[in-house]
Amino acid sequence: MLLENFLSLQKHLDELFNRELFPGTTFSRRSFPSMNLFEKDDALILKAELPGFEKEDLKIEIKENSLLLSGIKKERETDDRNYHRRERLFGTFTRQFGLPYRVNTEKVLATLLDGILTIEMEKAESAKVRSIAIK
Amino acid sequence: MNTKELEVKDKKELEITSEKTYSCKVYVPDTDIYENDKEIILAVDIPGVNKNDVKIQLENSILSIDAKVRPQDYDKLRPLYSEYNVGHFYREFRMGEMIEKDKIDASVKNGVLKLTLPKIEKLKPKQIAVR
Repeated sequence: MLLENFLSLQKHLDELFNRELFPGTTFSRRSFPSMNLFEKDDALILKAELPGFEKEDLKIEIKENSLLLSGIKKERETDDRNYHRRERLFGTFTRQFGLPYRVNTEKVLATLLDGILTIEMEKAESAKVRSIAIK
Repeated sequence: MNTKELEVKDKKELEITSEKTYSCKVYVPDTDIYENDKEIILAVDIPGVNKNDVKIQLENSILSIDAKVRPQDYDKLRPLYSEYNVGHFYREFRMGEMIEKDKIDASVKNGVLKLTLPKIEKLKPKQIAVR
């Protein structure tokens, strides 16, 4: 990807930052983790930054157009540590996320790579874009 | 075990000290620093960065961490809704102690960079036997 495209992505994300997914709903932006939702062909792609989480410590449940993500980040070996700085957070979370379309729950792919969780969900047949031939 | 409820923490953008030639976003990564008798250890959150894209330098007691994300991961994705932005990471620390430069160990796992900086031998506390 060209730098130009990356800058355009960043600008786009900034613009979307203050917009609600479902206008008119009270949507909490203060839930952990922060998430970004993308679209690609017939799929919805949800991304979240989850550094320090192991894949075993995350749980994903999807039902129609609602996704439930929960997890725990454990702090290991904390004995005799003399801390100078503690900015990283540890603990548990549960977050429900409403999707703008129904998805095919049989066709969901979740990966955790370098601390980024990516959930790729294929739209349900009824939500796919279809060209209609004019008779 | 810690079962505290996790809260959202806004990503902090780096305040530039020298002007950049492009306007790409750069964030300050959350970092834990702790030490024991032998080493200073840093745990740095750099989600989305591959280990090959991390540059670590120690010069004149300034430790710098430069971590680049992969924009290609976002190729062909159309953003619909956003709660955070994506950018590179950069942070500097002034080291208060002498470090064995050649023995610095760095590893990246699950988006967390772990840096182990061994202190120079003479600074380790020594027990002096009283005769």
